[in-house]
Amino acid sequence: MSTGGDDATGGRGRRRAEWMARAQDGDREAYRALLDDVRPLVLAWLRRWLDDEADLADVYQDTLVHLHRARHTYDPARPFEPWLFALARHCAADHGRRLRQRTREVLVGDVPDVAVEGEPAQPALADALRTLPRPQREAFSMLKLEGLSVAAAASRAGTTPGALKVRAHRAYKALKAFLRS
Amino acid sequence: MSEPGWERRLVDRLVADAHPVRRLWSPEVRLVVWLAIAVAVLIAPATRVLRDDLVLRLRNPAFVLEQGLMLVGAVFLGLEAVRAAVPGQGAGRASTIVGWGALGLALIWMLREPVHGGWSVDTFLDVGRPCIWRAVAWGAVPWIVLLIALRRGAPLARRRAGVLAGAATWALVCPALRVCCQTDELLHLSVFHALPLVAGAALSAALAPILLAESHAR
Repeated sequence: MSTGGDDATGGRGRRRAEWMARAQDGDREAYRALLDDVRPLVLAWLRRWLDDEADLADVYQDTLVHLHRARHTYDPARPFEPWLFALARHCAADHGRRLRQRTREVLVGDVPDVAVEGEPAQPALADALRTLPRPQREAFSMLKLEGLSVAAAASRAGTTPGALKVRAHRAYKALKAFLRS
Repeated sequence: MSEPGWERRLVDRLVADAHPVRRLWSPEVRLVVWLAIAVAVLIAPATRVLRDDLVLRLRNPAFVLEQGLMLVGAVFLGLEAVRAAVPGQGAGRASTIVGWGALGLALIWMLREPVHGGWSVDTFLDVGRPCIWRAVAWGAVPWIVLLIALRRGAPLARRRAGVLAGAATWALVCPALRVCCQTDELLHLSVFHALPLVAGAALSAALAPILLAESHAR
């Protein structure tokens, strides 16, 4: 037995499918109605994976462009949402890949120029830390010396938790290699 | 999040560009069309060079089973390939398992033939050269046709779509090679029949990110 909520959801889904079918036929009003209607849906879905507003805006924009380019592949006989979320998921994953790539490039290219606050007790570790690029050193210091959470450290560094974790991971690897040598 | 100006401008631009598009045919229809083209392309050259003992071989259930499994693999992997070009119609677990399973069984079954120990390397290569040539020439058109069919969609996982397209194509070519090639020998079948299939799938996967990039609504 379906509930009122299910009916409402089913009704919205059918309406979106209908708008999309009309958009495929070139109906601009239906297309605008659809793009306006899916906005909160896509943003809410993307928020589950992205907490940075700039990233969210980027991926949302990508999703709209992909939706537009792939609109001929939608089959009006099938539900609209799985098709839409497949595009959104692809855009989010693509963005994640690009972000990791960018983070790697930044870390490789960065040169340490500022001493860290809060020196560690062991001199060997302090020496090792000085050899790290600044973003990695900051990530390590905030997480391990100051004891901040990943979210708080990412917020202070002005980056995403994912990128901060990558920096910290690289710092651990570099420190381990330095201390071993 | 309130709607920023860039977003309104983007929506306006997309709406302005919303010309009518031709809907993609269903994956099943596209598969049938591809199979029809591929079989038509394969039949013409294959029937000219059929093996002399084909009638005898077709009475052998093991030979028929091997070709049957290969064709089942080609059909299911082809179906998965065309599905991969439609967002949200991701991997059908059952058809993927059937496709790869049938292909794997067919290869194992094909490689049960005995080894011929008395060939020199030159003889081995001479015997195999026509098979390699046929594998490349006969597979090229069906593979390109399938890639064009995929490009008409919007393949999101391009490498996956590529490996499926390559495997489906050369799984279809394999039975055509078998009904033309006189040599039922393990090393020959491994190098000149099975290897082109694996290489075709790998090459297709490697080229897919480039060949399947950027498809637009038509």
